[in-house]
Amino acid sequence: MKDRNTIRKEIADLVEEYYKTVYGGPSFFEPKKDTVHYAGRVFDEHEMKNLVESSLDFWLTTGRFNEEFETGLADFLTIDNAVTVNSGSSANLVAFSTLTSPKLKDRRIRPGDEVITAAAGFPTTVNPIIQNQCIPVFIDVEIGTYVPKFETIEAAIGSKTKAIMLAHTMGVPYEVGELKELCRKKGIWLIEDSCDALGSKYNNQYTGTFGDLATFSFYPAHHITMGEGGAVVTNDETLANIARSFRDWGRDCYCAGGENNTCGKRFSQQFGSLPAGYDHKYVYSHIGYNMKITDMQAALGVAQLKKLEKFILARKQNHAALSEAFVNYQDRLILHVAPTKSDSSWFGYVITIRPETGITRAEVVHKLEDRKIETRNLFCGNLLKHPAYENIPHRISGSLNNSDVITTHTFFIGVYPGIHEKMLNHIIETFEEIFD
Amino acid sequence: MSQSVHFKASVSEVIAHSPDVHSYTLVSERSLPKFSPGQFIHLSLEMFDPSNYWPESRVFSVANTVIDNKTIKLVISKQGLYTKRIIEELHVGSYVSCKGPYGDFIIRTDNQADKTIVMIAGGTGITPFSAFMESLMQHEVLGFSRCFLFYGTRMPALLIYKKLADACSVKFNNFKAMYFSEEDDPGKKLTSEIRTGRLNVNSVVDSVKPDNHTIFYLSGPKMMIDYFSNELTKVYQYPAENILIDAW
Repeated sequence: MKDRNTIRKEIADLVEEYYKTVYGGPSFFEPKKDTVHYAGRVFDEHEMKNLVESSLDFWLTTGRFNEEFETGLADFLTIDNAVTVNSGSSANLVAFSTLTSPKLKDRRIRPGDEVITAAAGFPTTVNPIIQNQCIPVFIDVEIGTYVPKFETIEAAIGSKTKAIMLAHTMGVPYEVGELKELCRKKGIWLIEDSCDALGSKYNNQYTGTFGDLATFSFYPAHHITMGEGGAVVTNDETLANIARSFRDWGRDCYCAGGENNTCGKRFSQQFGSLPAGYDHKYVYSHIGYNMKITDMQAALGVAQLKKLEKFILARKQNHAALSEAFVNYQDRLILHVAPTKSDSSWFGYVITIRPETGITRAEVVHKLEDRKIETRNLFCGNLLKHPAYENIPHRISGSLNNSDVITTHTFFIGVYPGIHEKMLNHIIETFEEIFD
Repeated sequence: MSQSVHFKASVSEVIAHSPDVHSYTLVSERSLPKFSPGQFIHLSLEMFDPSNYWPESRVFSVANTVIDNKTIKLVISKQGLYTKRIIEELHVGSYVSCKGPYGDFIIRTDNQADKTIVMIAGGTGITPFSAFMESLMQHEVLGFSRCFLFYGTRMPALLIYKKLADACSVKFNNFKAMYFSEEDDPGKKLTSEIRTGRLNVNSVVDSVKPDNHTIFYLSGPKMMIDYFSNELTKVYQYPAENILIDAW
């Protein structure tokens, strides 16, 4: 009878063969017939083998692959704690909720406190602020970088400002080094939404390592994927523990699934008005959620993490190629750039059609889509224009003129590692057709 | 708690301080995350299968800073059947399964310049403080107004980290260590710097003269922790939130 290791090896070999048969052949691309997606998963036999390996473990909830992923991500970012969650949006909710913990005493964010954020971006950067009954203070972003300038953020700070929660939109770092210093001086929390920006650097330091907390997304459109997944990272041990608590039902106990009494004090503590020695596994110190990932998701992430450096390089090369090609259209298009001191791990290539040209976004986007080049709007544009946000309590600092321009004139195309030279050439030729 | 991990480690050194108290040096097969002084690990004598449940284990505070991300020092005393097995079965070259770091018995070092900290260690309860003292030796400034260590054992030979505490006293003017031994070692004389008898709250209070900025850290046998907690809060009326205990 075969032992389990032999069977596992045979299965792994078969999975590799399956990958090579089904997905591993040469990739054919026919312009105008095959789609140039704006994003997509890039994988090989290693992802499939890990996925099957974890299913054979049948541990199901977070387990050995999750541990490997969390430590691997923390090592990559050179940060102390990475806490996986089931999406980037969940990461934002967990990160923000962490700062509302009573364990932070007088530093905790309370209902009614103001939190500075950008009007143009992705809704789930803002939603946790509203869900925690705080007041979003909306600021404008710069056209070209699509992130706010330092001066704009600084000008929005008021007496009620408790935190700043901003995204490095489309992989472009805002001036996070200077912002961190400002937050430190003023005692303001900083949450970096780095969901679009895994691998981006500011002043040679990874985004996501400046703030008190930062978040990442591993949705298939992102730099690496788990299918669904995300992470909260921090160098602060207290915040990490609180984040784990919010992720894990709000419980006080930090034992991983299937583990007991890791702290050695499971039946010997006193919490609130509970009976002395109440089982620590069922003591709740936060009103939390269950946002854990499965070990199958983590297994995918482990294989993807090993490709991250290569993925980042491909994104940079693709973005640079498009920038070079689009330089001739700068009289009609505002090209995608990053602030000085930043080194972007681009999420996509963002283009704003200069409003004064009279060219509409619809015209350009339809021509691109007709030629099978996928486009996306820059997420929600000005969030306050959307039905769900029309009546939310908020404050606006300065004008949101650029956010309004983004709502009507901006879109993006892909730079993800699945875009190869033939696809790039097709994109460039299509732009020539449209603009020459 | 920083990123806790499961790891296999080999035993590279064993020192028998007495038949019942041994020091172990473990070398992890994988790179370890950052350990904060005061944190602990789980140690199991069984090999862990990562696709299965964690086996029976015991927790031990890590006695060093793990600055190389590989080497862990533990001091283990025979308390029950499992620690008896550890002392009997672990030799140089043995392998163990571990997981950690865990725990929040961590001496705060940020913005503590106005604080007096008092570490009270009984027996192997010194380990969170030995890791802390090792980390202190890497700094030029103490970072506290004053720092005291009260370190008691059954016999002088078990004052395993006395040298390290002495080094801290030499390096920092405002670090003071006091030693207590319940009994003499046969053939050895108690030195004048080691007081005879158990750690007691009166010696601590008389030496420290605590105020509202004084934080007590207690680590050791349950009886010792209960005694100090009770005396400090009920007799001396120090606020309970200023008394932190390393309790299992």
